[in-house]
Amino acid sequence: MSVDPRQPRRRRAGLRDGRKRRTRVALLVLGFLCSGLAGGVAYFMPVFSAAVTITGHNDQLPSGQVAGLATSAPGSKAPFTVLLLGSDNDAKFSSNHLLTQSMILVRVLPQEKRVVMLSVPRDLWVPIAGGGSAKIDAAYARNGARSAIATVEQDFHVHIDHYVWTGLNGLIALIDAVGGVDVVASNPVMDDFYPADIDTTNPYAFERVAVLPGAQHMNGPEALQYVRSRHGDLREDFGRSERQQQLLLALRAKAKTLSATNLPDLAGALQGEMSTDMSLSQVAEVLPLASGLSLSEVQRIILLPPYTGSETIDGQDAVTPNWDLIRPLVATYFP
Amino acid sequence: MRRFTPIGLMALMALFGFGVYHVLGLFKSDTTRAATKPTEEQTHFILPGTLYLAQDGAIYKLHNGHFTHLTDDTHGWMQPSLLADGRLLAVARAAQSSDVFVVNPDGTVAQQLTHNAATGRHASIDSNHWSFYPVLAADGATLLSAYDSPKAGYMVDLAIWSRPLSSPQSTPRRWTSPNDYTGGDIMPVPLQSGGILYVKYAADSKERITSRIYLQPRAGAAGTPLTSADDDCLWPSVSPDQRWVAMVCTGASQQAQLEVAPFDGATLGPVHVVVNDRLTAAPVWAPDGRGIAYLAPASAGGGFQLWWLANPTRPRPDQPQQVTENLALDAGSRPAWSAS
Repeated sequence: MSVDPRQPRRRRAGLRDGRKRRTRVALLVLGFLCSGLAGGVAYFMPVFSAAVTITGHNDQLPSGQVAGLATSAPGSKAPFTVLLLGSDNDAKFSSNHLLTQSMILVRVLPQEKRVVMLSVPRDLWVPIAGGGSAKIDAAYARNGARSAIATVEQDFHVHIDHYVWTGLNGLIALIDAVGGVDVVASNPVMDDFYPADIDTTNPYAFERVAVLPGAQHMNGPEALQYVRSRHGDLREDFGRSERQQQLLLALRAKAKTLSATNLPDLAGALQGEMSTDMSLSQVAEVLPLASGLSLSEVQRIILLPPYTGSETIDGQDAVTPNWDLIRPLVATYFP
Repeated sequence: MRRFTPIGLMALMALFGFGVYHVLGLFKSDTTRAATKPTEEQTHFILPGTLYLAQDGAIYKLHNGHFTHLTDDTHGWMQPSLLADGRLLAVARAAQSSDVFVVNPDGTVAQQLTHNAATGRHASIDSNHWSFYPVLAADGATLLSAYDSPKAGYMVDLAIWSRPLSSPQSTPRRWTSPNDYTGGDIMPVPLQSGGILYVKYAADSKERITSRIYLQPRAGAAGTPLTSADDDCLWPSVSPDQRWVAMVCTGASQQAQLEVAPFDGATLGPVHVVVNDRLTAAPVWAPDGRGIAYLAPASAGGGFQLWWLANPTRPRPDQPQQVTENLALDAGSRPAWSAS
C-alpha cells in the first residue's frame, strides 16, 4: 500500500478553499442584505426625517405640563385629551403670528374604544392666558401652542395632555398624500367671499366656492374649501366646526386603508406643516388606536346656543360663552 | 476577468438596493393611487344603452362596455343630462361661475344657454353666478336648473329656475324660494304631471341643516315635503313608469344609503333600504326601469365607481354589482342614461 505524501497538504488546501468559499458566500449575502437594508432605509428616510421635525415639541406645552404626560401616555391605555389646532399659515400672516381657524378638543378612551370631539368656536370671547380678553383664535398668535393650550385649560377647566398643530397647506398636503377622502357634504356650501390666499400673489383676494352636497371624493383643496368656508352658512362658525369634525372622521376612515409603505408620502407632505408634543413612540401607539375605533363610537359636540351667545365686543362679532353650562359639559366628557 | 467579478457583484447589490426601494413602493394602499382615465378601463359587464358620466372635468360616453372621451378637458364639464333629440345638457364649471350648454352627440358645443360669468371692467366677484343640475322639463321644451339668485352679500343660495330652451335669453322663471343661508334648493327632477321633485335644505329643530325631498306642482306653488328632516334625503330619481322614487338618505350622518319607495304622484310609500354598506350618490333608473345605476366607492376612501342594482323594487333586490374599477367618477354628476 502506498501513501501519497501530498494528501494532508491537499486536504488542508481543500479545507482552506472551503472556508474561503463560505466566507465569500457569507460576504455576498451580507452585501445583499446591506444593500437591501439601505434601499429600505432610503425609502423610509422621509419618515425618520419627519419624525424628528414633527414630534417631540413638548417645549410648547405650558410649564409643568410635561410631567403630566407620563400618567396619560397613549400606551398606558389611560384616557387622554388632545387639542387639535388648525391655523392660517398663508401669506397674510407671519409664521409666528398665526390665528387658529380650528380648535378641537379630543378625548380618547382607549379601553372603551371611544372618542369625544368638542369644537371650540374660533370667535369665542375669552380671557387669554397671559392677560387680556380676545377671541380665542388669537391665543395661538400670542405664544404658539403653549398659549393656546394654557388658554383652553384655564377657561374650560380641562387638562390637555397633548396637542397637534397643522397649517392650511398641511391639511391640503395630508389629504392629497392619502389620495383624497370620502365625505358626505351635509349641504351646498356656497361662499362668494372665500379667501383666495393659498398659492397666490395677493393673499387678500377672494374666490367663489360652491361645494355641492352628498357623498363625494374630495382632494386637498376641495376638502379645505368645505371645512374652511363659513360665510354662506346659517350657523356660521358652528357649521364650519361640524364640517371639520366630518373631515376628521373621513381622514380616520381613510387611514384605516393605508399601509406602512404609505408613510413616506405622508411624512413628506407634512414636513414643516405639522407639529406635536407627542414622541414618535407615542404617535406609533395612537395610530392603531385610531384605526380600531368605530365611527359610531365617535361623539361630536358643538357649542351651539344656549352654551354660547353672540355679541359685538370691541367692534367685533364675537361668540360669548355661557360658562355655567359649558364647564359642567366639559367636566362630564373631559374629566 | 476576475477583477470584474467584484465590480459586477457590487453593481448587482446596488441594483438589489434600488429594487427593494421600488418594490416597497408597490405595496402602497390602492386607495392612494391616482385614478385612471375611463378610456383606459373596461367595465366588468355591459349595461344596456348608453350612459354619460363625468370625471375630472370631462364627460365620457359608456356604450357596450367601452368608454369614449366625449368633451374636451378644459371646461370643467359635469352633470350631463339627456335632451329628447339625443343631445346633452351639461354644465361647464369655471373658477367663479358655471354655465349650461347643449352638447352634440360628438361632444362639440351646440349652444350656450346661460351666461353667468361677470363681464365688464368693474364687475365684482359676486356678480358671477352658478347654474347646476340642468334637466329637461316634462314638456320637452324647458330647461330646469338650480341657479344662485337672488343673492345678497354673504347670502348665496340656489333656487330652482326654468327658462325656455328655444329662447334662453328670455327672462327665467323662479320655481322655488330657498331658505336663507342653507345652500338652497337643488336637484330638480321633472314629473310627467308637469311638476317637479327637488331637494330643499333647511335648519331643523336640532340646529342641523338637513335636506328633504319636496314635490311642487308648478312654478311658485307651495311645495310638499315627501321625506323627513331626520332622514336627510337627496338625489331623488323617478322610475320611468313614475311609480317609484330612488334617493340617497344620510340621516344627517356620514352615511349615504340608497333607498327606494313607491310613489303615487303625491306621497311616498314605505321606504326600503337597498344599499347600506357604502356611501352612495347620484342614482339613475335604467330606461327600462329594471334597475338602478349609482355611484359609490369600491373601498372606503376611494374614488367613486359605477354600480348596478337589478330589481330594486322587489322585497329582496339582487346584490349590487360593481361596473367600473380604478376610476374617480364625479359623484356630484348623476349619470345620464339613454336606451339606445
